[in-house]
Amino acid sequence: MANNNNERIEMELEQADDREMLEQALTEERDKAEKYLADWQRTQADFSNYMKRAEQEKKEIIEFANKALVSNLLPILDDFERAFTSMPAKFAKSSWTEGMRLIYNKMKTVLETQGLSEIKARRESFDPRLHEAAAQREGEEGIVIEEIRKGYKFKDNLLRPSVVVVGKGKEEKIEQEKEG
Amino acid sequence: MGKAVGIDLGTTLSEVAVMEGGQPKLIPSSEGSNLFPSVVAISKNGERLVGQVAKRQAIVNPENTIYAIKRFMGRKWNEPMGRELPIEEDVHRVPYKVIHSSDEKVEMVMGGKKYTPQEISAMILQKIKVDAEAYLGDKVTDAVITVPAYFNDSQRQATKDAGTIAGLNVIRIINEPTAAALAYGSDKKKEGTMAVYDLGGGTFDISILEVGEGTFQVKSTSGNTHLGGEDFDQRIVEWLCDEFKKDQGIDLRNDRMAVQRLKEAAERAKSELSTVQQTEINLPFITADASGPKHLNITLTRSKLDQLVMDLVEQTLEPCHQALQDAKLTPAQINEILLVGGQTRMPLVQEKVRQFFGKEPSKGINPDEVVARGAAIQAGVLKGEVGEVLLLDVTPLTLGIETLGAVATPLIPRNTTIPTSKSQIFSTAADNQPSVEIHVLQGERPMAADNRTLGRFMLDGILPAPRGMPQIEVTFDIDANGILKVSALDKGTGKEQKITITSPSGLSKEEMEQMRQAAETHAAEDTKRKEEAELRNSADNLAYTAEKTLRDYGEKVPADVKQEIESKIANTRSALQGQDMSSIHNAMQELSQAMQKVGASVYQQPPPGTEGGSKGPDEGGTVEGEFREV
Repeated sequence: MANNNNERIEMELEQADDREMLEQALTEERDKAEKYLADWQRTQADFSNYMKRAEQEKKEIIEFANKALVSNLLPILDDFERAFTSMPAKFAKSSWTEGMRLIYNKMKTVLETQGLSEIKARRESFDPRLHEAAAQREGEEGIVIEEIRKGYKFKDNLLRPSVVVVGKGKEEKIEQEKEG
Repeated sequence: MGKAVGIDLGTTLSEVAVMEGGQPKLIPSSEGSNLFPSVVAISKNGERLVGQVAKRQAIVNPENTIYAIKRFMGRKWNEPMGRELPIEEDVHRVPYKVIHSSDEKVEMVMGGKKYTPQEISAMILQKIKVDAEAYLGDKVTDAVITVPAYFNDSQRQATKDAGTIAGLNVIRIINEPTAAALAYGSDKKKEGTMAVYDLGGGTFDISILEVGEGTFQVKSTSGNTHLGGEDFDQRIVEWLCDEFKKDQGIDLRNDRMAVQRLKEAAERAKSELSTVQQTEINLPFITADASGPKHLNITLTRSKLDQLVMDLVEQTLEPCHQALQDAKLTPAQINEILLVGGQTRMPLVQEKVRQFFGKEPSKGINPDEVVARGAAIQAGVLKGEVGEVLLLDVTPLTLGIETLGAVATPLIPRNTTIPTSKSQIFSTAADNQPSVEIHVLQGERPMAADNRTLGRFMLDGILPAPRGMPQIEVTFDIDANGILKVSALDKGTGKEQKITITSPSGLSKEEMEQMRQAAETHAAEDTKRKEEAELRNSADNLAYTAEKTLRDYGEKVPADVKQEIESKIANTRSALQGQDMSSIHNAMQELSQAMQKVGASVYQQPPPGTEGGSKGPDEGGTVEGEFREV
């Protein structure tokens, strides 16, 4: 009888142990399942956000496909302009020079049809969103008094800011002359 | 839930990255660049400007434009400092007003108001936060911010405060070299010692770290707060000026615009010379004198550049010595060297570092981005996003099946991330074909025979039908363990057969490399063979269509046309027996021309009573490839 009793108690204990273990295992599995679900949801969310942005970026890439090329061609436009501004007077009227001018215009037109546009700078008030200040000199305060390098927009987005000299008013006039 | 980002808050430039799909990704500013200039300004009309825009107006508004705020973070007047210059010295170097407030506090004046360095830094962080939120389409709540390894507690606290002011929950401040090590995955190493060599635009830092069980300890740091890539550019500019003077007798240094152009050209030449041996610096109309315009056109070679900057590179080695000495280590005891900063792209720098430490430095991560990436990884780990990274594999080689003409038709191209599945519909190659054989192939070559056979099986019981009519859907499915299941389903009868291939990539790395190389070397001849197979297929197709047309509409076709077509079909068939591709091509063209006469004669006849006219023989819109005849 005592033996039997002992056995029963042992069995019950064992069952309780099993139960405990099972419950623990269940909790663990539940936690795991929850974690997996959370990870999965996170990944899904990441993916869906990524898709949205990829779509947006694709649109931008198509829209701005030629941006890098146009940007790399700007120094050539600059060179042309420098060539014309530093042209010796004796060539100014020659028809060969006129031909070079036409080539320049042609190139500019091609770039403009791609979406390039010049930024107005001279006589405008200085705007750091479009202009980059290279120096300050005597002149109307806050106004662009000289354009050192042309700035451009590409499809209404800034491609390259104008490099400009900004007026700083009249005072300290002499000192500034020296510096500039 | 908001996002956690990693921020590299630099002296001149800052960057921000976020974890995405387990990988760090740089976030661009609203101006479209990955770099955020660490500049803040108050414009004349009281507007606050941050980043690129603030930088552009610095020259006209110097007293209200604050840059290099990092040099003042967490510092006090009359305080002995370690690596930095004394405060007074740094104050002299900036055009804005730095004031001595009560309690030895350092404050700066901008737009007539006093700001602490924390507040200025916060403006930069806020711009980063706003731009990142716009880019991610999500709130940015938490951030990990990096600081130099030599920053003391109050400098770190000040950085953290700046984050708080900007509305960020700064979950950790980490050392820049530690971030670099994280970006390189060095935390996965059990233990070891590493050197982080960081040569940026204006500063040089060397740090010796000890790694153990995923933690990093800074053993020593050294560096030079005024040495960087800009000095390298300046050397090139000087050289160009000297060369030009020798050549033309004009000193360009006096011409501000010319110097600006030289600077840009020098920067470009320097980065080009990291990949090529020589580059041309071509600046037309750089200046002019009485004799007319002058051009600058000079070739700069890599070896000349190396000569120009040799001493600058060598100047970085002294701090390396110092750092090793402080850490009580020899170069040989360093297990890994990491390169950080854009200037480390230069081959000479890499070479000198290699010589100094006697081993190859680790490369492969964009050295400009490595700190921000590491910070993002740390943020991901702290937010529990990285803890267990789900590693997804890719298929190393293309998987496909054999189709008509012994062509290998790919279903899953190589480097596809698994698990994945792909279905495609195929059809039969002959009339009344009772079965198809699915021959599963692995490899990059266009012809089936040149690829590896993974398995084959038959799908039979296809009901008698003209070729191209039955629709057989072949599905490839690879699970996360790389187990490939291929099934073929006859959509007409619903009959299905499948095969499971447990190790589609049961190849060693070497074997895979061999197969890939073979594909490259044989590319030309393979293409030719594939084109031949395709030509044969279309010739065969045309002959078949012609025969079928004659069967269907024969009575409406005049006898002479019919005879002509029959002879052309015979020509095509016999050409197909041979090996001469041009005769197959010619026979095909002749047949196709003769076939037009059929159309002409059929349409000239009165329309048939009830017969539907457009009974196309086989183009059901599904046939992409056809099984070879079995």
